[in-house]
Amino acid sequence: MKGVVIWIASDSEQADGMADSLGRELLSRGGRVEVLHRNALEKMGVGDTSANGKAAACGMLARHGVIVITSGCSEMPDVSLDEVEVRKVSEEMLESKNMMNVFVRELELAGLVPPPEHDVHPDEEEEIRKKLSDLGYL
Amino acid sequence: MLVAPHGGRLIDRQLEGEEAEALLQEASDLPSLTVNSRELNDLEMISNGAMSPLEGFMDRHDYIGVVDLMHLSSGPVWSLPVTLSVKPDDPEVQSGDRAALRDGNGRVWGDIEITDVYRADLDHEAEKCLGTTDGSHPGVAYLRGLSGRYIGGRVRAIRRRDEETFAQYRLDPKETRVLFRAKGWKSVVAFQTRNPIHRAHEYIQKCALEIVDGLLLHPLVGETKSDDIPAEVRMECYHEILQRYYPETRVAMSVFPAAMRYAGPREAVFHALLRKNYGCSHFIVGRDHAGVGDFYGTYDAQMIFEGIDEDELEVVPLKFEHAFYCVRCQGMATAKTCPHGGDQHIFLSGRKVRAMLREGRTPPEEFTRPEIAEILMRAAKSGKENG
Repeated sequence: MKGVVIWIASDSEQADGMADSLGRELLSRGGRVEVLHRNALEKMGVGDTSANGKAAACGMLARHGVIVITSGCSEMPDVSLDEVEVRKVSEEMLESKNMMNVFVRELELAGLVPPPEHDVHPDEEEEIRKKLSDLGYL
Repeated sequence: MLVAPHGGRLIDRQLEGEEAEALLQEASDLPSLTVNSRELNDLEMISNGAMSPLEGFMDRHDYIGVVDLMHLSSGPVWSLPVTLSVKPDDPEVQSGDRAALRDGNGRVWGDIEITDVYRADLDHEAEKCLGTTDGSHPGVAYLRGLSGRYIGGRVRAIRRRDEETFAQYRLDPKETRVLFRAKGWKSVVAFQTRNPIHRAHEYIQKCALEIVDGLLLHPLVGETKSDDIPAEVRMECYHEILQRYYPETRVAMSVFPAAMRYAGPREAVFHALLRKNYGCSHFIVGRDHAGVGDFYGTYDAQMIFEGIDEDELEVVPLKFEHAFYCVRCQGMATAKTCPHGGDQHIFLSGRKVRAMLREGRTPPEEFTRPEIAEILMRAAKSGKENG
């Protein structure tokens, strides 16, 4: 899977929460995920904490198939990151569950994030097994 | 682990129970669009997830991407348009509208959230997807009967299980997936057919079964040409032969409610992708798969796969030659495995078999098992078309 940087274009605290939520979802699907919050670079002692510096750090992290989710900069710099896809998303786009699903679905179809782990929900799977048994398949 | 659905997840846009009732109540207040027989088949296949990742009829971006580049606008490979055509009596609708989808008798089968209404170049579609603009091709004839305007948008479909033909064999992709898991199959080969099972088909299926865990016999029961064998006759043949000659633990049969497009190579890819959604890792592609008349080269439907990245497809095409009985070999074989000449081979064309049955003559046992011949002869006597 190609690396991707998901750039949540917001410097609010809520955006950090959204990054965490999205990160948990993609982690549960078996994705390799890194989340960089607003102050991540400062905490790591990185000198260049500008948007450019952050984009470069994200690019390096994502290069080998990692999904990097970052929040903390309202503007995304116009940089090209080699071998990495970059998807910018606004805080508003992730506010509702429905809209987040649409965004994640686009990433799935582009092959940038893994699909949900189950093709059939476990509860439904039990019902279907019963039906198959009644029909004589099992 | 089974192969993942195309585009990552199975789409489910089916309505049953209260949801279906609610749509039926609402439908009288919605503009109505008429769906023809093929579109009705497609509506079912979209809503049950067989056409995942499609969630509706294609908008212009997907349509153009598929016709010209064999890819959906969102990325995945896809080989044939799945479209809803504007009919002469349809009301004017536009993007943002919601409409009820009704059959020719006015019965509601679903709804659509319209996101696009667009004009299409149907000759271009025919040339790219069917490889011809000759009106004697059934797919071209179908297109010639359309208005040239399509409506795109997400759909939902009402499921009426109690009215479905072959109900006990009608398994959705999520149901076949659960079935395969329950049986412990990780690799499954699908066999698409719109013909009765003769020895040649049985030979190919069993060859394929040697290399995978399970076989899904998946006869197409959607709309076909009028001279194709009726589905109920074919189903009787399959049922008979499965009971007698196939290992129960390694074979399953379910119907494939798609309409035939007779698009040859493009349809072979289409059939493979849809079977991937049913959980199949392999798909049998014979000579002239989904062909009609002489419109396609013998190996076109096999060669098209060579131009598609296997990582995109994620379903393995198993390419087979025609099989026959060889008198010298004393067994079934193909040109790949038999060194003898055609004069030693017993193989009958569909036309020849039909003629024999009409004349009350039984096809040779080396070509068709006697149980199958008996069903076909009985159907011929009762006036049903045979082959």
